[in-house]
Amino acid sequence: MRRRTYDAIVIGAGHNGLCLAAYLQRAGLSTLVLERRHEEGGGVNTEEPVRAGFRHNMHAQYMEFFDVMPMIADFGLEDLGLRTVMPEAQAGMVFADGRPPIVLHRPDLLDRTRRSIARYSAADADRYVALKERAASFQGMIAGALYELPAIQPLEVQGELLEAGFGDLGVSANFVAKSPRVVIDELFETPELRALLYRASVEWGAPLDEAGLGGMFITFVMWTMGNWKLSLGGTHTLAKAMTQACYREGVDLMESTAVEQVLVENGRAVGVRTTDGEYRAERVVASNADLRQTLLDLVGTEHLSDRWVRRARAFRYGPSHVLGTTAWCLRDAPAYSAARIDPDIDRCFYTVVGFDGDEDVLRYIRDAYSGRLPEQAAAGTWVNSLWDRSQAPPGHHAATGWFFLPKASALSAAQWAEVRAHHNDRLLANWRLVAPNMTADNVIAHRLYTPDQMEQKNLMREGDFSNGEFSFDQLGVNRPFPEASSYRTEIDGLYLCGPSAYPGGGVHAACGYNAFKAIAHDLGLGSPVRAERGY
Amino acid sequence: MRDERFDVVVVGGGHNGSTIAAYLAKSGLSTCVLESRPECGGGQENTEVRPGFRIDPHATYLYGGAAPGFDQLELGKYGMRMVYYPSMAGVVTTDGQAANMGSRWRPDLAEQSLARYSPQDQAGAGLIFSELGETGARELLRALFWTPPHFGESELDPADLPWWQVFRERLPQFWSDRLVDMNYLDFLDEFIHWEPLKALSAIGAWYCGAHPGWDGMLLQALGGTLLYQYASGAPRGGMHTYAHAIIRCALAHGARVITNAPVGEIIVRDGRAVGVQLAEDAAFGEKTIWADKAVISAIDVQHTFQGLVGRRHLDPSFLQRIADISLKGGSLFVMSVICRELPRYHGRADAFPDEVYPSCVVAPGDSLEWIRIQTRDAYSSRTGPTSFGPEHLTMMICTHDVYDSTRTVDGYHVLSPIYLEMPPPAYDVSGPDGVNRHKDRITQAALDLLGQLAPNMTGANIVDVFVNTPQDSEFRNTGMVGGNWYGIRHSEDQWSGNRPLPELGRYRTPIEGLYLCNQTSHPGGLCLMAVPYNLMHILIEDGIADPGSWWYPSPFYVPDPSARGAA
Repeated sequence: MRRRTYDAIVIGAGHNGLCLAAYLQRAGLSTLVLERRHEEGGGVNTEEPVRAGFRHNMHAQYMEFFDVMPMIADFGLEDLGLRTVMPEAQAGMVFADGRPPIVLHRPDLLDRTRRSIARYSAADADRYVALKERAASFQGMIAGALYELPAIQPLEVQGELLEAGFGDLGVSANFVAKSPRVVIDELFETPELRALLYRASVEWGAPLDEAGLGGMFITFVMWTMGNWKLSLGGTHTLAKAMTQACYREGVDLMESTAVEQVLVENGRAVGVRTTDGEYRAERVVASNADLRQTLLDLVGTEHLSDRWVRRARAFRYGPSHVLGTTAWCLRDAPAYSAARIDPDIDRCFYTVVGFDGDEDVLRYIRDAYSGRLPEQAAAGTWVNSLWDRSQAPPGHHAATGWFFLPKASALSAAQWAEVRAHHNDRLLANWRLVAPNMTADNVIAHRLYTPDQMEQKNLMREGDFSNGEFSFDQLGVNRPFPEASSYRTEIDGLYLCGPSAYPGGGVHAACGYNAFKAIAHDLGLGSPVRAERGY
Repeated sequence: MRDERFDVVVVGGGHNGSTIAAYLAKSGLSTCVLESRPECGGGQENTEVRPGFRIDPHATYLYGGAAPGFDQLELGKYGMRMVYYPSMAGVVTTDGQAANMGSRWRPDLAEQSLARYSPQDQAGAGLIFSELGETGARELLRALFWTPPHFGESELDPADLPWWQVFRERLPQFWSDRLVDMNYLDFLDEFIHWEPLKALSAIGAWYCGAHPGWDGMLLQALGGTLLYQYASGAPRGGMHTYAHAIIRCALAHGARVITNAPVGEIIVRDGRAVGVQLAEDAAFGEKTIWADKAVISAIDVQHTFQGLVGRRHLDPSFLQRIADISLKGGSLFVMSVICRELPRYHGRADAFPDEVYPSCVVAPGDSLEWIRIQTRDAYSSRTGPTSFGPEHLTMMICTHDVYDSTRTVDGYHVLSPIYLEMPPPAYDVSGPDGVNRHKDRITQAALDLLGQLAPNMTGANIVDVFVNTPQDSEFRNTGMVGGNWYGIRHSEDQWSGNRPLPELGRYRTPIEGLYLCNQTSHPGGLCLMAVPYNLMHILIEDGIADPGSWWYPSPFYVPDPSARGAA
């Protein structure tokens, strides 16, 4: 007979849900994870959606938190198959008119980065490297902030801390109130470098024109820049390793089982109703699903106060972090003309193609954020098969890229179909301008996944991979809204553990880890904090 | 990473590799599975090719319902759930005949359909299954599939083979000596009257592995159909769930499963397999994993001996015999179609109402002759589809979403897989890449034919089409040589103790401590958990495994008098 009663039920086997489940089970709670899809991992998935043998990460791409993610060490994920490589050249941008590429390297190779930027500006090169080194030296603090429940800290205090850490590099306290764009423009004079940093900033959840995120750029974005690892076999390997860790602990996991309702009795979450019948939870129900789905669809407004209903309805998805994933099956990897100037560009992990400079990126992002399909087809691209032969058939390459696109509801179904039909071709035309071998002959097949499809596949509303806009009022202690920022809800026993909660989207598993901290505190389970790590 | 040591190392995490790992881990052995892909499960794969739409690129139905492994490994505990279908099969013809054959849960559907066309077949269709009953069917199936090949089988009177023993005992009214050497096509011609029912039965058997035209394989062909009837359903969510459950069982019992870990070499010292060396492009880099008790190769027999065991350890004539094994059975061309409406077949489409829509429709199943043509196309040396007419394009059109809503999005249906049999690349008259080159043409011909049989399957009703050619399948799973889904042919000379070679028939190899556990051994493909179950007998006999009281052997198992452990 199938077991129907557990101490804890986790809704959704995204990487945060898996993380939480592993810690819960280890703490002695019998735990069940319910997953709607047939595979665990949520956005951490790798598939062969275009041609057999060509693997693409459909969502999460580079992994920058592996050095700090507690679960990797606590559950020995590297022993369970998680393996990475860290390419030397990490981020690059190429331009069509023969200008040198910008190539940023991993933290131990910043001399090469300095040389790359210095082709444009020695001052920018020195400043970038100095800021990068400084941000890297704060890794422990940044990780400590990620893997802890968000704390209220007045803006003035944040400013003082920022200046204390970076003041000698030209950063002042008022940077915390600025937008990332203003900060980037103030620090760097080279349009080409600005363009790459704009793009990186947007990718890492600091919308360019959002005032109040300048401090986040200096610390968080500068820390993540070039800290990227490639997960061998694809990012799904992380999900597989996490799943194995869960099984080893004794977690039960049911895939293809959609939760239809969270059962609430006397103000307390007591279980779930699924497509496979009811499961009871004696102590905890935690939801890796997004905020509105969790509260409005699964719990239901009848169990919530007016204030919580209002808060949930006001939570916004997109336009930041709205992705289109483009997948390419290639014969040869792109060979960039700019390799004549800097050969690193041909073996650069992440290469942004299709922009001509900073104004382009700004216009592109502003278009996408205001619900228009950007005219320019430009994307950040990865050719993982350069480092990992398992990702493409012998002698071939698999490339994957990210477009930032308008949120799903901004375009009609027919318009999205149109985007899928033509947008890749426009990217290819731009690609060919910088990499002449990217001809139609070099492309075996390709496919574009649009935000409306992301929404359908992973229930990431609007195609927003953070399941909630990264805006000043939805970050930190305000995520998803102040009363819910401790992962607890007004339903006893019901917790949030997905990216609608602090700190948001990204493969850090911090939402799951911190949710465990909150649950452990409430149930007296003991802390997961380890002395050598401190968080 | 430092070298590691286990009792048993299993090379390959497909269905058979993960199942033997689960058996051994449950027996208390420290076990390590090495899988070259990022995902275990092999052909038990599901892919979400378009958000919300899940296709089956390879395996699709549960055939292994009678497997002892379901109890022994408690797969239900590890997330394996079945959906049982009221109708498993139907057949339609180019001239508008259509029969719904129901399933073991709804035998009345076949009776109604056949009353219209062929009352004399009414009793015949589900007869064998209903005469056997569940217990008898299980016994017959276990004798056929879940019993290690008999030692010294060639000296036995064929009529004394376990499956014929059960048949004689359970179905004395049907028994006659001549059945032993008969083939399924002749059997159908003799006992069935309505032509489309013959075609349906023949092609159904073929997809279970045993070519209906092979002499001496009657009961194996019939057995395939029984396997299909026995389970009459599929794992909820698709076959990958089945793989998940097996892996989960292995892990729960402490097995170590390492993905992204292609094996480069099986290490042999003094004639004994002592471990494996990971390939240099494994995620872990070159590394040795020692096996104290056994190395089990769950990849195909040719890759095992030609690729992983150094030639210097093997006798040249043995290597020649390995090279001579033909892995070229029929190859699958797999289409998946996303559509808004289910096919509404012309003529007697009323036989397929939504609530009992056949999960698998054979179309067009006009005549047994057409099946003969297609088996000839697929198996005869250097032939190929000579035209794209209906006689060459009998499709198995499967859909699961009518009974399993996890497969699709509201308002849409997924026809997946639509199987077509093709010649293996090496036999194709137009060259090894013939099917790849004709991919679009074959796809279009099949869709045109589908549009003729089901007039609604045109235009806006078809939303998307995905195709896996045989070579695509080999890309995904290197063991599916040429897109063949069951390794070696299920013909009499490559069945039971002859599979893959007589000296390898009991899963042992010339290398001490090296065992075979792949569909290239008896009883072949179909995700039956049968090769590992059978292998367990041998491992017990050799003193390697000592399972607990949960284990039960096949009642037909005849121990090997010369077994190493028996001495």
